[in-house]
Amino acid sequence: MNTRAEQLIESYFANALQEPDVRELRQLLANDPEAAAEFQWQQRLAAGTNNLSLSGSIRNQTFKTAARPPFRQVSIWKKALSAAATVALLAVAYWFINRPPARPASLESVVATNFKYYPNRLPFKSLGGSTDSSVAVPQSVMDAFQLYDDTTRYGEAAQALNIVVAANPDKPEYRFYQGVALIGDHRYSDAVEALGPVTLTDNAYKVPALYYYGLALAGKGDKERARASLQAYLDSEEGIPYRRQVQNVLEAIR
Amino acid sequence: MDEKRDELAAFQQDPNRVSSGLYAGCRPKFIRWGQDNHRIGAHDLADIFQNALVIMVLNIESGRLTSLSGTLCTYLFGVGKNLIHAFVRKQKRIDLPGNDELPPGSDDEDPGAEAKMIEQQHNDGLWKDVDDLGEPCRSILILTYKEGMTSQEIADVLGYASAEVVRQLRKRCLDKIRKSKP
Repeated sequence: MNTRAEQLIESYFANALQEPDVRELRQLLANDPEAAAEFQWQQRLAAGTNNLSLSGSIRNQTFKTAARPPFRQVSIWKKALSAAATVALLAVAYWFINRPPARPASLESVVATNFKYYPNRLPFKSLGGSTDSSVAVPQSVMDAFQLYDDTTRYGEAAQALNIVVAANPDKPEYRFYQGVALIGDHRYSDAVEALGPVTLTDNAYKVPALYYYGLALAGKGDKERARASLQAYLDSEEGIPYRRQVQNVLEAIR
Repeated sequence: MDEKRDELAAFQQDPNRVSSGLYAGCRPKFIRWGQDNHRIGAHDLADIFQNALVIMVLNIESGRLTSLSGTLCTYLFGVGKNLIHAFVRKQKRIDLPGNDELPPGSDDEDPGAEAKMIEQQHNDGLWKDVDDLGEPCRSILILTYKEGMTSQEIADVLGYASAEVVRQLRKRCLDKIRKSKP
């Protein structure tokens, strides 16, 4: 590892990186496996040192005792204040123990929290994909997917994709993106209808569809079918990218 | 023997009495000074003072601190200033790969419970390795990774000749840990 790499890593741990250094470090970690491995190792080391106290380095027991901060001398009025604070704390604790049970987070909010955008992977010409004229895509489809790519416009995307799906019943991939957009727009019942058929196909969208279908079912309140779909996702060999989200939702609907 | 040297000699003879005096007299001054000049909370300043005092004791114990150009309290202010610089940088830190963000390409991957457990065990092993290293490695690594100090700041507070000396020492310490792993 070269000196510059060492300097950047040292500056990282000293929180002394400036913006240009940040870019340089990112580039270095992406292009230099040795530096990346060293950086990761030092990160683990740094996480480990958080458990250690500097005073543990003092060997002499008398010195160690001397380096302990003294107990604070508390005056009478401070004691009185402390007693009042204790009474107040007990009152709050009493209220806390006897308060009505807190409502668990709603299923809809669990679904919303664990919903992840699925990147548009269709090979459209305008999106940098295939330029083969045999896969020319109608403008209406392009427009719908442009809306889909903007994660602040799920409602509009779902509406546009609804028209696309109706015109292309043989393309389950369009249904898939429609279902994702519907979940993004919190329309879970519609998403269930859109995604159900995709989970029965054998194409590349089947496994991710199990995740989104499970989310939609959970959002709709159909816990049993949501569990089955999410579990099927976990059981699938390809069910990797959204495992954490699936586990969170399964936990919530257990 | 002058008064300043007397303070160090007094610490060797009765460390508790001297440190009590520093806690009672110097710590409140340090906290007030830190609040006025750096706008840091009293609790954080008390923690910083505590680390400064531990560093002072470590330097006395190791023999790196044998004479003072001022009083012990002035010395603690000097150490504390370096710790404050590191503390302030930590508050303004820029998040980077591997910290809050994951390395490119792994954004959607969850290592799973088993992998996390293995990583946790690995981390546990690493801090035990650091703990077992002894001085000066232990202090240097804690000041580097936990307190976020630069090599120059560590050289200043631990009394080494230069930042380069600290870098070389740290390199040797890290090599020791690496060698201790099969």
